[in-house]
Amino acid sequence: MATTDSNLPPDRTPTYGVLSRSLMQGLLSFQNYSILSIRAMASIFTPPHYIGDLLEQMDIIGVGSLPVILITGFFIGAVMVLQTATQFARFGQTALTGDAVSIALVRELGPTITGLLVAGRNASGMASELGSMLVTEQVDAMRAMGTDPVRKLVTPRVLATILMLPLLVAMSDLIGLVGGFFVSFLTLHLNSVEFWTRAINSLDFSDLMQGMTKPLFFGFILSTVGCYKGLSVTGGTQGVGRATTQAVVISSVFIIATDVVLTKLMLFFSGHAL
Amino acid sequence: MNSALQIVEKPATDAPSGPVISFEDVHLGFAEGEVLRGLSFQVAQHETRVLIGESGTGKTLALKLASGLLQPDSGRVLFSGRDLSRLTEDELFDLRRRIGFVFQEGALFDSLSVADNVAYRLHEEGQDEEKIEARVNEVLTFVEMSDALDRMPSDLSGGMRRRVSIARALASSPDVVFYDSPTAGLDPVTSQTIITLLLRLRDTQGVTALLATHRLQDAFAMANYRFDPKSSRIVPFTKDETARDIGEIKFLFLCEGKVYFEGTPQAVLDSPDPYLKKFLV
Repeated sequence: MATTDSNLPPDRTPTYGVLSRSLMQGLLSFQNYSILSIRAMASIFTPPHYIGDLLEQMDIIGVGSLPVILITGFFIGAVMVLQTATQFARFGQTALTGDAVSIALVRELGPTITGLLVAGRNASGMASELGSMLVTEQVDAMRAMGTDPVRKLVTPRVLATILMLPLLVAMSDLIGLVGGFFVSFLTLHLNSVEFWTRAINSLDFSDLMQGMTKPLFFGFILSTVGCYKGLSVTGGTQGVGRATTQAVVISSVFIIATDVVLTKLMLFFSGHAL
Repeated sequence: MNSALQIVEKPATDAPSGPVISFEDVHLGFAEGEVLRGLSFQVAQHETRVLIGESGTGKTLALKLASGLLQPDSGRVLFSGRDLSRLTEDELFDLRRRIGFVFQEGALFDSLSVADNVAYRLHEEGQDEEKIEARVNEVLTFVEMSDALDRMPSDLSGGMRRRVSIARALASSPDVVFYDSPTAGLDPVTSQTIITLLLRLRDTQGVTALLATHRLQDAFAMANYRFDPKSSRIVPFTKDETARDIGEIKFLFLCEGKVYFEGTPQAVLDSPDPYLKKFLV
C-alpha cells in the first residue's frame, strides 16, 4: 500500500500526531487530577462530613500499616548502623554512629521509606477499591442517590493519609533508632547512654520539622494519586489491575521527586543550604 | 406479605405540569464514536415508558442522561422542566434525591450489609434511626427480602441483588424510578419475580418509570398485566382498565442511537418491520 506520509507537512507526521496526542492526554490527566485534588481538599471545609469514613480510613491506613512500618523501620535502622559503622571504624569514630543514624532516619529515610511503603500498600488499595466500585457502577449508584463520591470516598482517604502518615513516620523513626541501637550494642558494643545521648543531641528542631513536614506532602500525593487512578479506570477489571500498578508507580516517583524539592527548600529555610 | 407501601406525598411544587422527562435531539458520543444520534422522547407523570433495543443502542446512556449522571454533547435533557446540563453538580445531587435508579447488576455497595444498602440514602438525609429501621423493613418486605437484613451483597444471588437494588431505589419514596435491564441475565422464574415487583410498584405507588430492556416479554408484561392489591396477584388488564388506570402504554424502540419506532403493544405486533420482528421471535 502506498504511503503519503513523507509528503505530509512536519506538523502532520504520524510521530507528531502521536506525541501531540500523548501530550494532550497527559495535560488532560493532570488537569483532571488537579480538579479532583482541589475538590477533595475543599470538601474538608464544607458539610456534610463523613466522620465515620474518616475514622475507618485512619484505622486502615494508620493502624493497618503499622506492622509493616515497624518491621521495616527496625531493619532500616539496623542496616544503617552496619553500613555507617564500617566507615566510622576506619577513623575510630564509631561513637558517631548514633548521630548518623538519627539524622538520616529523621530527616530522610523515615519519611521517604514510610511514604513509599504506604504508597505500595494504600495507594494501590485505594486505586483497586475505587476502581472496582467504578466498574461495578457503585460510584454511579452513589451519585444517583445524591451523594458526591469525591466528598464520600476521596476526602476521607486523603485527610486520613495526611493525618496518619506523620504519626507512622514518628513510629518508624523511633523503631529505626531502636534497631540501630540494637545492632550498635551487639556489634560495636556501644552502651545505651552513649548511643541515645548522641542520637538525640544530634537532632535540632529543623530536623524534626523537616521529618514531620514531608509526610504531609507525601500523604497528599499518594492518596490523591491512588484515588485519581481508581476513579479514572477504564477497561473493566483488567483496567483496575492496570490502575493499581500505575497508582503505586506514579505516587512513588512523585514522592521521591517531591522529596528532592522539599529537602532543598527546607535546608534553605533552615539555613543549612549549600 | 405487605404489598401496601406507604406513599409519601410530594410538595405541590414538585409536580410538573408538563412531561417529567423530556429528551430533545440528544447526541452523545465517546472515543469509539457517536452512540446517541438525535434521541427525542418524553415521559409523562405516572407513565411507565419502556425503552427497547439491542445491546449498544444507548438504553443505559439514556437512563444516565435522564438522571444527570452523564451530560449530552448536544441537545437537551429536561427533568421536571429543568435543563440538566444547566444545573451545577450540587443541584444535580439534590435533584437525584427524587430519583430511584435500579442498575443492571444491582450496583449494591459491597462493603455494606443489605440493610445498610437500603438505608443508605435515608442515613444521608439524616433521618431518625427508628424511622430508618422501619422504612428499611417496609421496603425489604415489599421485595420479599426481609430475612436478608444482615447479609452482605456478595452472599446474594443475582435475583436477590436486583430485589435489594429495587428496595434501595424505593427507600426514599422517589417520584421517578429508572430500571436498567432489571431482568438481564436472570432465569425466567426470577425475571418474573422482578417484573411482578415492577408491576406492584407501578400499581400501588404510581411512580413515573423508565424501563430499559432488550426483552420484549418484559415490556408486554408491563402492558398486559396489573397488580391486584386485594388478591396480591398479577392479573391481566382488560382494555378498558389499561386506558383508565395507567394510560396508554407505548413502547420506544431504539436503533442506532435514536428512536426507531414508538407505538402501542398492538402496533408492535401488527408491524411488518424486520427490526421489530427480531424482538418478537
